[in-house]
Amino acid sequence: MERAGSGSGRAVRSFADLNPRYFKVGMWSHALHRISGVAIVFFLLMHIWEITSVVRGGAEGFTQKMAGMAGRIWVIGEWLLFLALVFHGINGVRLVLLDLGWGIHTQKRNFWVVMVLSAILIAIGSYFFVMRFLAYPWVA
Amino acid sequence: MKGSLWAWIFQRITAVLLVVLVAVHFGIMHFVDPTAVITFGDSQMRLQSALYMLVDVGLLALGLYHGLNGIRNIVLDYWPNAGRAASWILTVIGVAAVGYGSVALAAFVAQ
Repeated sequence: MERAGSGSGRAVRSFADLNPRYFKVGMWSHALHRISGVAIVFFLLMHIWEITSVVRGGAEGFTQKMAGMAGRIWVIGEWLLFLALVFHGINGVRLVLLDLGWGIHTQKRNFWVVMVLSAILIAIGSYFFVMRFLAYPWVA
Repeated sequence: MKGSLWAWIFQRITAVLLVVLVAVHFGIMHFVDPTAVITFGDSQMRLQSALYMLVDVGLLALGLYHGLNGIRNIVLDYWPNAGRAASWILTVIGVAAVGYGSVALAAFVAQ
């Protein structure tokens, strides 16, 4: 299968385009979207494993599992998940709108709009994570 | 329409639904009572309401579809020849996870 390179019409022979040194705003956005997406998928599979502990250990096992996760280490993990979800979600809205033809000529600016909106939401949400962090011991 | 075009359409539809569902789910679990430690009883009480159950089943199915199809897109970008095999493997993972997750959700309301 022949695959066109970045607008050149030739088959890709190397992944030079994938060197971050040559990234512009759009490629950074794409890379961040992918990295956050893959991270969320891994989390989702772990999350399903965690919730299905109710099948393997019953009500008691589930409650124990949750109590074991009331530690600061897990709060940090949840906060990192929050960062990934916020960026992926807001940038995802931009991508859906892009597919509908909105924001094509302003994509460079819109990347920063996404970043600012993400930062605002993360700042607000982080307050709750700090509360949670301070309420728990390091290891439950 | 070809299958891959449907996959693209569904990726967009699930994206829009997930933005809403994830925001609701994450907000309730982390921001309503930030220091709470979840117990079986709490989850059972929540899941006995049809709305919560609908949100969770939606998150399970739509989240897995969107996430695993996203992985498929990455495979197609870097290893186009592995696309068919990846689709099969990811479908099996997705069906198994939706099935197992549904069994878990049912366990909360069946006791």
